[in-house]
Amino acid sequence: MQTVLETKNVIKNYRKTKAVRNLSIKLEENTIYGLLGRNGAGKTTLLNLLTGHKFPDSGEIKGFGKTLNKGDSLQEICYIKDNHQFFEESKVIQLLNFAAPFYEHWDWNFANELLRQFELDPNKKFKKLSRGMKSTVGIMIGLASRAPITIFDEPLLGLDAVMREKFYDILLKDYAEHPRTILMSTHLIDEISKVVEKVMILETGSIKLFDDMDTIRNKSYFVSGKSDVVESILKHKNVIHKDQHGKITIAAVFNTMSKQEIMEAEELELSVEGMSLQKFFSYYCMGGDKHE
Amino acid sequence: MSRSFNIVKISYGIIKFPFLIFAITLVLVSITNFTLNNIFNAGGIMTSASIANIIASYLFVISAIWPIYFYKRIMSLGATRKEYYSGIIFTYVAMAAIFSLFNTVWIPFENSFLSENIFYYNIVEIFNWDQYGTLGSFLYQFFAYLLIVSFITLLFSCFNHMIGILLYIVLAVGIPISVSIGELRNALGKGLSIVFSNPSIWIGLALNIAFILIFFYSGWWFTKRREV
Repeated sequence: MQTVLETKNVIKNYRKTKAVRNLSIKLEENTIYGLLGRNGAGKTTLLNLLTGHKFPDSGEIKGFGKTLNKGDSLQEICYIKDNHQFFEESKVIQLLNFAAPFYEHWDWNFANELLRQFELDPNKKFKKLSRGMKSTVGIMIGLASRAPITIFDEPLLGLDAVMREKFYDILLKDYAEHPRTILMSTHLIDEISKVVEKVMILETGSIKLFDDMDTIRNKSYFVSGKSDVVESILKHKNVIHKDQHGKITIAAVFNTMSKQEIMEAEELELSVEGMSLQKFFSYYCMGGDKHE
Repeated sequence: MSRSFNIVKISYGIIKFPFLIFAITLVLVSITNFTLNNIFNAGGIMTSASIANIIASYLFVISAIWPIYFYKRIMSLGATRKEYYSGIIFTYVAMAAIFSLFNTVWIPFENSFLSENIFYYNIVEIFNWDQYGTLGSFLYQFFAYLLIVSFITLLFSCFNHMIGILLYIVLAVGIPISVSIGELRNALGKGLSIVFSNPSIWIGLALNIAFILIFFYSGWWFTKRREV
């Protein structure tokens, strides 16, 4: 697959704070990426760098093979920020009218459909909208733009569960018909696990993990049972977290387990269960803490 | 190019309502002044700045606000820096043309119908821009407005750059000094009159255009280096 966006050894500091450290990533065409990380991990900074809103102190950023110099930004990118810096006095429909000409593949039919689906009054002023509704305007611009690279920074802030589900459904349906690269940062980890194809975990400005969602799903397990048995069977496995309750141990494993291994574990009265992305993220970011 | 013109369209969409309020307020104040002067005219003729000139000052306000308010918002909607900057230049050119034309048409009206009890100072008469007729008056105004706008845009585009801050310091120190020392004051006045009130329209316009290009280019230099 073609690489659409790439960073090479990118560094960004804010005075003494190292926001992004020597980061090298490649984003491919027609893939949905989830960007995860704890608060202050550098997610927003990374997105700002990729979109040319901020400049790296060193390193290189390439879009569609072309190096982006200071001040350059790609016309093929639609970037929806979490703070929605739109014209507060404008109506929703005006904002859509303002945004549309900037995107070559903008679809007005889809934009109108989104207005209907998200039950948004097009004549309401942006400043009068609730936090969730403001997020919806951002989502609408992001989706209707059909930009080859669409980047959402915390797109679901303030949205209720119904609206979030609606967003995932619409996103997947539209992505199936109009594949493109979508990069989304969020804290709603379990929810996006249904949507994303690749996951990036950022920690203190560095990539801690960059893998396929399916690989993570197939490699993350909870193994629980008698402590000594758990210890022996997981001797050569990557245990990222352990909880011990008396003689029982619950271990979070990030390693491939063959069917044979799972069967063996079950024969030894161990329980082997899949792990949610949220749990995986928490344990992986904690870096193998043991709670006894 | 069409993306840059979209910025002109957005500017118009954002500007029009506040401008309407500004213009209506100005007209109401002017009508009140005019009426009161006609009713209670006791001490002869009053003086006031021309209404058309006050309206044109809106252009200068916009050129100060746009780099601060408009920049981040238009970038959030999907514009690139280049589109933003070329878009605001197109907006300024259109606005400068409209305000210059308006003032050119307004002067005869003001002199014929409004100046019975009020003497209006008009920038065209102050700088003697009407010496080359209506077209000359329009051109002098148009380029002078653009010159001021380009300078304001530069000043408000450079505030977060080291060189920009140096420029502020130079201006903050330089202006009071050049105004307080007699010889410098004379030189400054002479310089400004060469640019704004040159007896030769062609030299005047050429100087205006040169400064406009320098200021707009400098503004772009800072915009290119400005983070969102």
